Amino acid sequence: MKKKSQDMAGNGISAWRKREKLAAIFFLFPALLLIAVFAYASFVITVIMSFYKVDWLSEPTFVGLANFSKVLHYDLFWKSLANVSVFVIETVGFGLVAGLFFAVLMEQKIKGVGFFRVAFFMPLVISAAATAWIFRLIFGKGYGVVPVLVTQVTGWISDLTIGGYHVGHLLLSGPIVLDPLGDPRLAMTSVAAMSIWGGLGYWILIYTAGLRSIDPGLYESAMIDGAGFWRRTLYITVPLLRPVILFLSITGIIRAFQLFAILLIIPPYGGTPGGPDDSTQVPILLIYNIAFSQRDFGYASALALVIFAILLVITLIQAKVGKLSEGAP
Amino acid sequence: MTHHTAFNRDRGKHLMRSAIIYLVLAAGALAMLFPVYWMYMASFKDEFYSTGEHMVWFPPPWEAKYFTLDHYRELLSRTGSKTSGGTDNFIDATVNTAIMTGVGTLGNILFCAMAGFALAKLKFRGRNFILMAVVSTMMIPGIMLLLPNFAITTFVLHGYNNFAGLIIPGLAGPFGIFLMRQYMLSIPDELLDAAKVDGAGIVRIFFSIVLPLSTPIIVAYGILLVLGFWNELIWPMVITKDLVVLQMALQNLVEIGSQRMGPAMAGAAISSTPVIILFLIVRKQFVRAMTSGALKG
Repeated sequence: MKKKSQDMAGNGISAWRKREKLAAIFFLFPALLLIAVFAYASFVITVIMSFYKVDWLSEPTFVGLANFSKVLHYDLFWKSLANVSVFVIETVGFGLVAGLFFAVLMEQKIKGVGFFRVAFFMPLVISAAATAWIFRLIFGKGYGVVPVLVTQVTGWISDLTIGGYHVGHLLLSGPIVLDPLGDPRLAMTSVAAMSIWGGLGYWILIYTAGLRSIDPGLYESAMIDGAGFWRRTLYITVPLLRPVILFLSITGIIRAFQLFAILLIIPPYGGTPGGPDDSTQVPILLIYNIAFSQRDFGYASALALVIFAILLVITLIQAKVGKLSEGAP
Repeated sequence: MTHHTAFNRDRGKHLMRSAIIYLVLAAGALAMLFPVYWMYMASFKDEFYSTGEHMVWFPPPWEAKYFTLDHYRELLSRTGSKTSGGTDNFIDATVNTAIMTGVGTLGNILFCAMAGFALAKLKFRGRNFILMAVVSTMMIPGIMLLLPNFAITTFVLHGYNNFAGLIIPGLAGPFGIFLMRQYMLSIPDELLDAAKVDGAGIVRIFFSIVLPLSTPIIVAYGILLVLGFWNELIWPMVITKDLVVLQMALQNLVEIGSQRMGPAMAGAAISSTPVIILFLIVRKQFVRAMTSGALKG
């Protein structure tokens, strides 16, 4: 009797193990299938396509490394990299500094901080397309808030008269007509401004989480030693936030390379995405146009792989530098 | 006496400091909120008063001459021809977006929770390998996969221009699986064992114990999914033509050459209002959701 029940228990366990295996297959199947197809197979297809000329209409032909050499000899590709670098420096630089600044301010013990949180985080939920439209209305030459204000203010300055003397024109010869989206020198920065508006809350959020993980005792003992606010920030907060800063800069760069939707919305009538004068041309726009307008999927895949390689190298370098500086005293 | 003045000086310094903090934060908040205010204003204002030197910053709400509902009326009554690709009826677009968001979010949560449960609580060979294989795909930026996913969806799935193609590729993701798995690890094994002894099968354990206990992470992740689906432009743009979603409708306003700001702002408001309301309701969970990726990833 005793023996039998032991047997049953043993059988029960092995039966359960078997059921657990079957269940694992059942539970994993849908998600793993999707990832196998839309990530792994997809990635392999990109690599394979990059060696072929593919237009989906005729038979693909093997072209070796021709697509890659075409990418490297494509002037617009290098220009797009330069543009995206400007965008990266502006958005990541501003995000790292202003994000920490506002996060620290909102962690001070002040009343009504809830309102400020709502204000800073709200743009996060607004889509890139809506953001781009809103800023067309704000940045539009001759009709937007910013150019209109700039023209008015610079107009007053240039007309400035003190004691009968027209001193204004010494400062400015006349009102400035600003065209943030149409001037090639300003366009990329204007796009960066929109992107910063939409994303600043994220930097603040991540910094806030980092700030809250710092032991408050550290600040207290520093205060007893007489360290002021700035010294505490520089010698305690920033070094302890190093992993957060590393995370934010890596993901910030990767997100910057995904910039796309805004660029489709901002061209004025008759303009094309990437303009004016290719000043907002970025790699993903090139990939999109080459694939869906020129129907050259092999070439577009090669371009995508080059971008992937660049991002991978940046990530690895940053992670390495982060590790090294973490080990430093 | 001296003590008293020192106290006053400290208090003055403190007040001064708070005042500066408030001033800086208020300036930042103004910069953040103004574009939203301006969007809603311009969507209800006669275009003349939204642009140029004649713009009115704070039109008194009782002055009827500033306001109009024409922009909304225009967007909602538009019947762009479906074959020209210029469709931008915002009622259709809103319905399509809601369907994509609802089905996509629920499906994604279910599949990711299932996979996360298997990786956290079921014992089988190759579990760690599968986890690594899933997580490592997070390294691949989305643009890399756009072209082959378009090809697979169109030619294998026959998903061009229909809801299947629009939704299916978004039904699972490495981030969601990882998030679910991490959370479910914290559910004590004893609870599941007790249910086993009571004769519950694995499927029942998942649905009646694990899923309810995972509500916080499901809500947090669900918020991210809703926002992601609702605001998605690129994938719908490449995979559908007539099945217009809101972000495409916004983009179409550029393509058809309408440069008028009133309707565009009404469109932006239609797209933004539901997510702003959602954000105001679930502020706390939203913050948790946004940071969940950073802290463990």
